[in-house]
Amino acid sequence: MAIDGLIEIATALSFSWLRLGVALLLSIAMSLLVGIPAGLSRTVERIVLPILDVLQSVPILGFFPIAVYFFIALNPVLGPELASIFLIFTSTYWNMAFSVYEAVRAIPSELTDISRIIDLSLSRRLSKIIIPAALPRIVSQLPPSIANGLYFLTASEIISFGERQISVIGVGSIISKYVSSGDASGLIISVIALSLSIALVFTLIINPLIAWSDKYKFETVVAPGRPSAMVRIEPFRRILTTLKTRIPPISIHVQFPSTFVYVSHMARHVQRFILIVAISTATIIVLTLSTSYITDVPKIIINVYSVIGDLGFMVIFSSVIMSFGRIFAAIILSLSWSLPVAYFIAKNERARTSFLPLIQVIASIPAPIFFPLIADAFLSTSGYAELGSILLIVLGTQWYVFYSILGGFLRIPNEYRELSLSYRLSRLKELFMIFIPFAMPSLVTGLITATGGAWNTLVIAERLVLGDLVFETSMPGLGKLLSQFTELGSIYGIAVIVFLMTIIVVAFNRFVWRPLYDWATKMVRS
Amino acid sequence: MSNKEPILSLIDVKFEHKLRSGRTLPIFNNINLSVHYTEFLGIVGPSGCGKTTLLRIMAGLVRPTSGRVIFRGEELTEPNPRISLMYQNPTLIPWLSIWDNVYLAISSRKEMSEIEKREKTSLFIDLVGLSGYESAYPAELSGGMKQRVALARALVTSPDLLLLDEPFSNLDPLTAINLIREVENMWLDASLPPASIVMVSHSIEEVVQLADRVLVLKGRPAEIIAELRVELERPRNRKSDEFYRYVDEIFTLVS
Repeated sequence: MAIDGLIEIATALSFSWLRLGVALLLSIAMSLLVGIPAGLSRTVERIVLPILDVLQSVPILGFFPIAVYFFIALNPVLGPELASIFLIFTSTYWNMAFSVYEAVRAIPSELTDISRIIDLSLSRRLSKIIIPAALPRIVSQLPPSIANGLYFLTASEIISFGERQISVIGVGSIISKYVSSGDASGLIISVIALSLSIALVFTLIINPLIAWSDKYKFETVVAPGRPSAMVRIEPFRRILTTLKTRIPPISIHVQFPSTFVYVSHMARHVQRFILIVAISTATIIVLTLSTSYITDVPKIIINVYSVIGDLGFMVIFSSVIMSFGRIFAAIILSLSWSLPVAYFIAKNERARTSFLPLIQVIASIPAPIFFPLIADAFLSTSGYAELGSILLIVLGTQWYVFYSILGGFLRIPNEYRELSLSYRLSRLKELFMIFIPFAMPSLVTGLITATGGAWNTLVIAERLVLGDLVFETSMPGLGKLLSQFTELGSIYGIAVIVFLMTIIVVAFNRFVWRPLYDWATKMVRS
Repeated sequence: MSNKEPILSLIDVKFEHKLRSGRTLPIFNNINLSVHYTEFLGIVGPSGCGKTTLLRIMAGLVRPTSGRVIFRGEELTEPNPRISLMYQNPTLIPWLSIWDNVYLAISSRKEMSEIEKREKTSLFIDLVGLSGYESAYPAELSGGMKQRVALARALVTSPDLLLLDEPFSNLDPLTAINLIREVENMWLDASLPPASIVMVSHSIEEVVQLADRVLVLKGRPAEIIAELRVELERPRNRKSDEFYRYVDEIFTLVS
């Protein structure tokens, strides 16, 4: 590889990071702008939360074609660049917005009272109380946001829509170029360069930021028994707690749930669900309208209808089932390695100090690095394409699962660990009677985030496009459909699939995860 | 085994915390003490002096930095089923019923038959006055009742040594006094386990009420600064002058 090859990679790297940086700054600004009012005012909260809930459920790549249309129409030269930044933004924003909202809500009421008594002006309240309170949460959301942004690195830099394919300068597009031209050395060097740059960004920027933001935390309770280990796990623990608080728990103050309570509880879910469907329908119609210059509503309905008609219900139905199946398999795979490893690490003080840093290093390897490998090993052989697809989903979900379990295990009060020691419980008994039930709330939260992420990865996992090469599952899938519609440039097709996915994700959250989370938190309350 | 031999002794036990900075913080140096058969030993000291750590070392849950723990003539290196520990908080498992919580403590015993285990579980739930509550869950019980379940769980293993870590300090005063009285009655009943009890507490009244011998722990690193016998008739009268003489004496030592 010649010098200009290296220069090319370096340029691509700086462009990618610049884009990610701009997107992150935008995310921070927007999350403050939305999260603070939502945290301060009940009215704003009631409007903003369902909207955020829907938008975060919309598959990220679903936004993309629509955004490309919009931005290219806005400015043909800068359009692709803006569209790319917008996509990265959508993959880094939601967790941040929720955490700012949570942080503002969590400001101790005493502090609010005091600021009222000493009559602080709004600007002083913002600068002295509210923003500092939100800071640690924002900072702790940086690692997952960056990881998410990196997962869609390639997808965000190669913009294909119908016949048009525009790529912006970046590592993602360069990796894709090397893959399609079969340039192995170029691929390896750019992958190494990317990994190094990630390590550099974390050690020079993110980790110091996390350490710095520590002083803004309200509570700094460290378990007295094992300070060193807790400190090491702290950043991840914080991510997990913030993830955890993303789902505002609905507390039921009734000891014995009667049928009535259950029914009214479900009724509330149904109510919110209908509201969310309405909002998402409106959002997608508005997005479609604003980007396709069509103000003719009947025409939209006819087009949507013809998309559904062309696909046929069987295809749609089997796509939903297959996608579900793949996600389910990916979650099971993630769980099956996460549970024993997390248990081992939680039980073993020494493993925590030696094993955990290793896992953190592995976890920080950006997923796109594995794309060519998986494509080569599994996807190109038709028999293993399904397995490859599931592995691609695992890449995007496993760390949520693992860290939520580990976080849950490590938060088990010391006394309970000692109980099982004193009573000489077998490992299996300890794992299933003490560890897993205790970690349930955290585990459910992890599963919510993981499945949410899994739906997003489908677009890549079911139909991986690397340069000119396309690796796809033989069986149908929603992600595959979405990817195909994107390639065809069918805005109505995209809208239908995105809408379908959103409904599924939101419905699943309402009717499966939320009740499960409530049950789990109730169970561990003594 | 002769009753002159201590049931448990700590020999030159030293413990230090490792700090994040890599430095070590000594909690106590060279603690030497013995717990005798049929003895109720009280350990008092101000908060944060390492009482709980000392108790955990006695339970075999924490290894001392140096020194030895001898239990019934053998070195204690891991938790022993013959030693029970009762915590300040009930630490019941929320998703198990009262019955299952107590049963869990003996569930892994191989030398007992299933029927024996069940009988014992019921017996001890009854003993702490909770029969009828077997199928209830911890969240449905009051603080005092939860601590009773914890007591039943600590006793169901028929321990030789029961370690109490401020078991009454999270209860309201009235509940605490009742429970203390019950523990005292149980202690007086020779047919019931355990052979010996060690209780750590910062409440001097509690210790004077229950202990035969009191050790006063103080300082940083902590050491045993005094030892005294409580020669009072049981059941002890909290309002008597002698009772308060002991309380005053220990109070002066602690503060």
